[in-house]
Amino acid sequence: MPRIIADNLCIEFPIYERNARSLRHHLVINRLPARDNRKAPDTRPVGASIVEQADGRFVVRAIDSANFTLNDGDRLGIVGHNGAGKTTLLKAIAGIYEPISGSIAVTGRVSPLFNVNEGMDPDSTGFENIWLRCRVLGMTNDDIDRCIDDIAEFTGLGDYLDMPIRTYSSGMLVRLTFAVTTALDHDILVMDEMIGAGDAAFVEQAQVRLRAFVGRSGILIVATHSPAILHQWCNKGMLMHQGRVEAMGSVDEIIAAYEKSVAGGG
Amino acid sequence: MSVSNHGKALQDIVGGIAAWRLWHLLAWQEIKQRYRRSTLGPFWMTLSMAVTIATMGLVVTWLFGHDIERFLPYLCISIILWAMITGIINDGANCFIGATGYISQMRRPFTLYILQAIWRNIITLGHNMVVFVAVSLIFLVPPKWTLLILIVTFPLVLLSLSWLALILAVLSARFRDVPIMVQNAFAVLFWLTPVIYYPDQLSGLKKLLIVDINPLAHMLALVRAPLLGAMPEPLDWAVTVGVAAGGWIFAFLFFARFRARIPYWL
Repeated sequence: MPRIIADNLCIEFPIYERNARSLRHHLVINRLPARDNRKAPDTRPVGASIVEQADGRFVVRAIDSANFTLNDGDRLGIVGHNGAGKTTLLKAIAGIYEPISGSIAVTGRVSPLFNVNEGMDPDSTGFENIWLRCRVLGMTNDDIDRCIDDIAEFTGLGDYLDMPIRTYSSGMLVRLTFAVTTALDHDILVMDEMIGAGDAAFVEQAQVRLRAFVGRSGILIVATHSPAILHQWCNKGMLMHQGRVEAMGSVDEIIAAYEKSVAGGG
Repeated sequence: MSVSNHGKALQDIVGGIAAWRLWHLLAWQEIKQRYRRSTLGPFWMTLSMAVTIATMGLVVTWLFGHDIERFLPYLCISIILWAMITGIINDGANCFIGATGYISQMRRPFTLYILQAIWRNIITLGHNMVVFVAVSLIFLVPPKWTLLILIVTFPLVLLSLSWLALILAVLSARFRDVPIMVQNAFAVLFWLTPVIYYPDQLSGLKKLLIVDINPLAHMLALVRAPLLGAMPEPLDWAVTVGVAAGGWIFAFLFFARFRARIPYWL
């Protein structure tokens, strides 16, 4: 039974740039309660909070004490401004970033879908790339033989699959990578906002496939800016702001809260 | 959740080896991509190695007045093996930086990328060995039973290089000066290791410093001697086994300590 439990999950990125000193200067200046407090960090709508540690180093607190539980059948949509921590949270769920403090317990195998170009060879054909990407996602020869027809059909690319993928549009690439990733028999599907690149027909087709996936008692987590995607695909919403989980609830509540924050924060 | 850092490091190494299909594929893919659409394909490596060895062989023979029938096979195999050693170290140092896309896409064992770098250099070695076979035929170097010892010495040399590649890969992810420093260091070590001269051209303190205490000289000898029909010296064995064992103990502790930080540095 797939399940995800985040307990006080914190993820921080160290800043190693040589001009960290000038960053300190910049932040101190901006924090002075003076003439120009428009830029004071806490009212900033975009980005995570930048924190100075005891040793004088700066870190970006990408996820700040997140607590939530997801169970089988949950289709969660995460919304928030740019830099609110959506992608980082997805990557923590996928096990790419191990927590700095707190914990995240994931039961079940995760299929990640972040970047459509990764593990793709632009000069190889669509079929070769399906094979390559299946392998990169950890499938064996038998697995690949079993699903390759299904994947090819789902892409709807037909003869294009015999062409080098550098001739593909971004929407066509999305079709290909989406088809491969969702062909895996995994329990948890984690997706970054990229489905938008597909056309309407594809988004609808993808929805059918995701329904089937969640029907097999999987968990779907998608980060998006689109209320339409949230309505169509999700049964739960989460609003993130500066690395914190601001609210979690029904899709309608979260869309309302998100739209309010967009209007208010500018 | 309660798996220790050492347990996770061990899981990483075991998982990396088990994913041989993937590193085999990725290593080949890289070589194929580099030579795609060229007429000779990967045999460009063979040709450029042949030209290097012919040129260097003639010049060094003229300079030192060596007997070319003995010297050219020696030089040939020395250069080919040196190319593999530096290739494993330099590619190893860069492997996490180069795999940033893969690492931030999905959780996989980190040792996978080290094995990919090593395997790519073994494939290159295979292409370059064509030159050695040709040189052996021209100068009538007969294959001897000593070749059998390679079954032990070659893996041993890989073992004594791979731990260093792993440490350098971790360090390079954090400190971007490291791969450049390593590259320069090995360019210098080329002259401080018996590659284009015989170890017995040196004596006294020079021999002690350049041959006897230089692990690279022993690793080189361990594979070179059997190919030229001789057995490696006991000191070659002792030093290489020592370096492999000590190095791996240190590398394992180092890797266990810093493994989880790698994605944050990329």
